[in-house]
Amino acid sequence: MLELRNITKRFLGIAAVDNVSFTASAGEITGYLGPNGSGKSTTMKMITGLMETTSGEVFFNGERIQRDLIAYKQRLGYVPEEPHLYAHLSGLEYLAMVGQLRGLPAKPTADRIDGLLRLLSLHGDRHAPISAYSKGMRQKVLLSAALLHNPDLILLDEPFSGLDVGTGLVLRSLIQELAARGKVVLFSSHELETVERVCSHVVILHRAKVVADDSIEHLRTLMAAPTLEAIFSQLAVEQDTAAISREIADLIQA
Amino acid sequence: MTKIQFRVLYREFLFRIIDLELLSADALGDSNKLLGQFAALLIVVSIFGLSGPVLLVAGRPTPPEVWLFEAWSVEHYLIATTMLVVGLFAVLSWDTTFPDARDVLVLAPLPVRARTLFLSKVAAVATALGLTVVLLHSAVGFVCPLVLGVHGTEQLRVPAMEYLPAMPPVDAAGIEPLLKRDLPRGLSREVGVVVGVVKHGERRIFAYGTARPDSIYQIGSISKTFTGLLLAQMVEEGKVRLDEPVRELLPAGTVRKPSGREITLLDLAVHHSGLPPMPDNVNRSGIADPAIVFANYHGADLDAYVAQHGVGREANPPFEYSNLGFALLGEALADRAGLSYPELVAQRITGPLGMRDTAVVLPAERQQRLIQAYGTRHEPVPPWELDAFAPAGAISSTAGDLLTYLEAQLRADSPALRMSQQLRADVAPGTRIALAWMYDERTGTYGHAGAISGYRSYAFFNPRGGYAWVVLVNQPTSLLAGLVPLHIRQRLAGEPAVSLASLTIPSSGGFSGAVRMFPAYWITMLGAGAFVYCSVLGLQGFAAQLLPRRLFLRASSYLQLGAFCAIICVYCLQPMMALPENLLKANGHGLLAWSPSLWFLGMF
Repeated sequence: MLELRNITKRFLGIAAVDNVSFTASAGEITGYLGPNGSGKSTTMKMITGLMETTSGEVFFNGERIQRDLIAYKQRLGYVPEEPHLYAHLSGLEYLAMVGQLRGLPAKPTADRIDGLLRLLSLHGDRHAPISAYSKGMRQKVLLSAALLHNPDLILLDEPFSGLDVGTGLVLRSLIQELAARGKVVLFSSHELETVERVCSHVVILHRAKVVADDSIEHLRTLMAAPTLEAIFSQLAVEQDTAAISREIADLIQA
Repeated sequence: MTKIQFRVLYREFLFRIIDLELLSADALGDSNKLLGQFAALLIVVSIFGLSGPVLLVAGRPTPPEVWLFEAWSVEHYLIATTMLVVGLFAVLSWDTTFPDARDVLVLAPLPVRARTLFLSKVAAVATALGLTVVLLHSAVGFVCPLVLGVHGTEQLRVPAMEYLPAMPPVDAAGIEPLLKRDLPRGLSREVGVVVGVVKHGERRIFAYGTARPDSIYQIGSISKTFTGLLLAQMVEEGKVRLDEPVRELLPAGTVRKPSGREITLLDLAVHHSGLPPMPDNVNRSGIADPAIVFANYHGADLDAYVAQHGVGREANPPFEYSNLGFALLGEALADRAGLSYPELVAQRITGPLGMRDTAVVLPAERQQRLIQAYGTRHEPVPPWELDAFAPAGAISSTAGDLLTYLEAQLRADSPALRMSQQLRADVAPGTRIALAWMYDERTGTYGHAGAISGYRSYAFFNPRGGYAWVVLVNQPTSLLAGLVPLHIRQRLAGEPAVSLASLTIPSSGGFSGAVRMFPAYWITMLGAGAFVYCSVLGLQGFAAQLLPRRLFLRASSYLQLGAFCAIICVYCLQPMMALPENLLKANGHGLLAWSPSLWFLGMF
């Protein structure tokens, strides 16, 4: 179980994440939502140990992650928002390097990499440098790297970015499958329809604070809203979207 | 686990440095090819750029003392170039030394400790630098120890090239114990040095080695100051003008009047005439012995040269030291006076001052006191007899007579003497010129040196301090004797002084010399490379520790640029030749003392 307790992160005194607490349980997919700049990626970085908190603690299975960060990272799989990779390596080389750095046994890992590359339709390009990959192909490499060591905690920050429809559907099923196998899955995305389909539990962030932390079903009832999009609009969208659209159209026509 | 991570990251970083940082941002994985190209480039530099000077020096038939300094110069060039290459490498891979944002974002989610990451980065960069040094020296690192080691030298005594602390200004008598302590031991057995010092009217003359206090030496180009004084005297008497064209003093019909500006007597006396150092008709028959060549160059040859080349000049010709110019000036003055140049000197300078041992043509009865001169290989060489070049360098004299001459300069009790000391043109930054006398603005010293046959001579006077000194030597490669004039000036002025102590350089060469040279060479080069790399790394490390992170990130690129400029500037601006004067400066208190390549030359 992943637990955030009163996490705050300040940059030059300004809170990017303000007193955020929630829990993501094993076997369930937790959606982590919020508009741009609400603090989602900052939270993700604190959960991965990439960034230290200003105050508050992150716990995994009841232990502070900072107590043994290396052991924690052995159990963590992370797909970041931006595809940061060593672009001069090929996909195969990159995954082999990640396997070695994770201390995985060579032969089974090679087989696992081969399988992942086949299943994600990268096998034909496995020797090409990542610099020649499309955004979707890079995303597949990141996904493979995140799952290579069979992690207990999977953090997905906009994992559908750049993926084609087919792979998107595979990923959606995969997330559900992983959760069903007892993994903790924290899933951050702007694709509310997907979130609504795969997540049982959502945390909505607005202006650095948690404004909702509940099951989608309960939120629908509570807010008398038919969809997650409607819930999200009520909680985290302050603008009159129709009025803004009209203004933009008027502006470019003027 | 950590070892495996270190190995994986080390390999990754090393590959990336060589592949991407050094060669091409678009390497796109074809690294083996690029690595080969990089290695080939360094090997070519090693063969042609670095081995060339080694072979050049090794093949030159130079005297042992000169060869030693040439060998050191080559070594310094190799050290400095190694430092340049490694320094540029370290600066260009500036961002790869510390983990950058890409590394953090890629590796931070992985179970890798920051220490492992940092150490693998440093090890990768250090390996790349080590490889660079090894490849850069792949050819020269074999050629240099072998060639220079086998060549070697016989046992030599060379100056220690160090400075002694300042002491209160000494008087003329106080110079002797200072010289006596170290000078005689450092001279080769054939060398004779006479030193003359006068300070506030007190005269002292000291002789060392084979010389006697009254030994006569050819004083070479110090003769030019006599010619300059003759010019001043004739100007004072109204016989010539400084701005008078030299053409007007030569026999009618010698040379045609040029259409534009023409060379004046002053132009000739301050080396700003545009004339070359030597005429091009000086040795048309290709005789090897310079003594015969100069003895056979007569006034008619000089006139033929002038007739052919004319006496026109550019608007502002730069300083160019010209024996030809002074030969022409002396001939012109003698023609105007209606005397020969030797007669003119005798009548106007040596006669009135009572310089009985000084003459352009030494009388037979004084020939026996002319000390034997020796060549660069310590072999006896004959004195040179000059004819047309006499005004540029034919006078012979003693230390006593030259002191008399310099005392007259210090007194400057005639308008001609004062005129001869009047500064008229620039020579180089900090140095100006009067009528032949060079003037050092920092010390306020007038001086001139002379070199003819195997003789070396130095004459200086300092009107502000009221002292003058002269040093006469009969062997041209005696480095120690060459330092004596500087030592005397520094002691008379109360400044820190160059030491006259000598070191014995043991004989070297042969197989054992080469064997010894190999480890010395490689330790020096690898040490020099490691020093530069650690300096750049240390600069980054200090800045990262001292500055707040935001400021460090902003200042980092400026630091990188500063380090880049500093490395280039030090390489380009420092003297590459390890000449005695440069080594002295490196052991002193100036900027050269801060040159790391010279530190490593010292270590070598």
